[in-house]
Amino acid sequence: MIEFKGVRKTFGSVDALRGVSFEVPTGQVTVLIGPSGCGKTTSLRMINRMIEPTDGDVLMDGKKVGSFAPEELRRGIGYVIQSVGLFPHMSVRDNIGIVPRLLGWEKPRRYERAAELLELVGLDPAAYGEKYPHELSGGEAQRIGVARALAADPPVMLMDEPFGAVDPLNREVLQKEFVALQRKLRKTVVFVTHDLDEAIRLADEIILMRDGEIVQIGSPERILAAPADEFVRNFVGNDRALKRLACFRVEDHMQRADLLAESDVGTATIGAESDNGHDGSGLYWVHDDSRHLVGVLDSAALSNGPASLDDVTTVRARDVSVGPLSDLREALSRLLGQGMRAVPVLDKEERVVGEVRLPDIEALNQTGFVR
Amino acid sequence: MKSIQLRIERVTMAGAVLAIVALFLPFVLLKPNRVAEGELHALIDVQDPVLVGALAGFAVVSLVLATLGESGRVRVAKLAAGLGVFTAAVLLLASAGERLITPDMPFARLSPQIGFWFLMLATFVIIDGSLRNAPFPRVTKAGVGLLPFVILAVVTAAGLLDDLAVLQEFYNREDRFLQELGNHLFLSGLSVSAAVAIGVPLGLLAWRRSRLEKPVFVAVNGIQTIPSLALFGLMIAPLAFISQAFPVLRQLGIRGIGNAPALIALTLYALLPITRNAYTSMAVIPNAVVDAGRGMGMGTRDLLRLVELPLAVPIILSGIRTSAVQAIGNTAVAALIGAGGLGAFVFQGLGQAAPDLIVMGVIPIVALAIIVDRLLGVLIRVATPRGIRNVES
Repeated sequence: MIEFKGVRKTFGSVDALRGVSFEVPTGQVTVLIGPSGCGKTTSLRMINRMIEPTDGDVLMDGKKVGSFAPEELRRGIGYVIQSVGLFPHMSVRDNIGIVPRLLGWEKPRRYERAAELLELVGLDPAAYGEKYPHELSGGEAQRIGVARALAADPPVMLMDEPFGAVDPLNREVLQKEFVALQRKLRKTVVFVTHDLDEAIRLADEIILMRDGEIVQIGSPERILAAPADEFVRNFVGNDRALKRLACFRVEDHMQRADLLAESDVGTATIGAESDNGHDGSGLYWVHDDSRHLVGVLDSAALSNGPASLDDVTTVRARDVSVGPLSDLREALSRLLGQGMRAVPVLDKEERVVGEVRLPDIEALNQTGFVR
Repeated sequence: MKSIQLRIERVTMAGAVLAIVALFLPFVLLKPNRVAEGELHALIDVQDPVLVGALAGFAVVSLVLATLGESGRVRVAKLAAGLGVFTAAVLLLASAGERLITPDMPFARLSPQIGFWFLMLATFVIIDGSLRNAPFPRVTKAGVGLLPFVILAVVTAAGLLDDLAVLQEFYNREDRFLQELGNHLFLSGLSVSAAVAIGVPLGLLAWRRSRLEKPVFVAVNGIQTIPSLALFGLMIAPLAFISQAFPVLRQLGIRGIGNAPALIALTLYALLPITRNAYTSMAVIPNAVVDAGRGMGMGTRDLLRLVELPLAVPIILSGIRTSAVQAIGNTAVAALIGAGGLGAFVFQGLGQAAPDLIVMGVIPIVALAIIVDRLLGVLIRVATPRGIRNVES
């Protein structure tokens, strides 16, 4: 656990931090967010002693970080920055292996570890290991920045706007990958951003800062549902109801979906394999022999006996579906975009594992604000 | 733009036209002795129909080849034609010595004239045309570029060009030539080394302490604006005074003229490129790279060894390269204040109105500059890590 106790920092006559205290729980993602100059990056850089506090203490597992030699301390903390800072003269695998190298690992072990990590961040080790940074796209470089920070398997990761310089499309992909990665690794992550959507997507806890002080600490859902003051209300914006949907993962709110094999369309009848007639979406997801989604059938078409293939609306799986790790905001957007009562949830193999229904989303939004 | 009908490759075309024009220009100057008025001779006067025919033939072939596109075979043919022009021109110089100099002129000497120089130029243009954008490896291209020099060296070593005035001037001063060559290398080598020893730390210091940046660069830039002749002159008075005041220094050879002022002036000149590049080598390392390095636990020494030096060394070396080439040229001027070096021949030639002697001094200076430039170029390539090789140069 990382702990800030009454930490102050002045640069010349400017107060960057005016005595902040907070805790970063182990194994969770804590996002520091706020407008420029609020002190979020300063706080982050105090954890690995890139900046020393003027006053107060930063503790890690109960010990002051100031009691460690800076180099030793930093080798045990993963560090990812917005501009990545890959070493341009080193190959990708040498970049990833830099902290292990500082720790004295032998080359074969470093390369083995680099290959493992490339795999972990979704890049082919054979294709990328010997590339150089100038041959990488922004998104690839940032993935390798993350892999590099993970190289020595540090329990703590500091990430300073790591996806800030990536284009919006890739940023979303990287954020999703980060969520998936974090479920596996359970690192203690301190993440700085000024992008509220990003904070909502990634954070277990948000620390909202302003002018060197903490304004509100809480889960994303909490901050959106109950902003502490006018500043927070403005910061989260008028669309906070919508934003709040991003706090919820599809997998936690999806319902059982009714599936229908393409070959069975001609013989299926209502209720034959469904509990779905009245309170459900009334949609059957039609799949082919390899269980890939190919279309949707409205149960209304079954009311007069078995339907035919003509009643099935063909869909492109990629256009209508969401993944288990997507958020409900995306699900709602798909729902509205397709004009359907439910969207299918597909796993990695593009098989339907559930569906998200519009009434569920509406209900969720109302309960949230009453609470 | 490419012409669709003819597909003319312009570089080779230019070289070929140049070679054909050169056929009709004065080829050599024949002087009965070192000071007498000379007589111009065209290629026709050499009366060597075989060689002249071959030369004209190669020139015309080049012209034709320039219209035949850029396939591998055409390239090789162009290269052969270019080398043919070169070889024929050089052999014609030898032939001219044999046929134009009669036994009644024992001191007679030849100087190549504009026709010959045009042929040399044409050779290099044609060879360049044959190699341009060619899919050959670098080493092959470099090797091919050396071929004319090999031919020239062989012909010279065989004694075929002994009638040339430049070589006669050389033979008359063979011992002194080696001595002055050594002098030249010593003066430029030592001054560049001194400039490295001063300029690299100075540039790095200017980077670390931003307060020093301005004064440092005002100083080294300022030095560069003083004309070299003036700087050498400026050294004379103070050094003469110091040498008078401190006999110890005089015994060490420090006087108003000679090596001491030359070395000081040459070092000062060499400072700018070295200091500037040392500064730049640090300035171009992205902050993010240094921040990432420190944040991952690199100490000052790790950072220097693993990140800063590998990125900086190629840039520092290219500053040294610029300085070294400059210093070799500037050293020639140092001869004026009695420091010796190959410039001595140049100024002697100027004094005696003997252009051949000037040329004899200038050729090795130019050759030296080119060789040093190439050698350091290779060194820079080797010192540049693979990841940034494509990015720079």
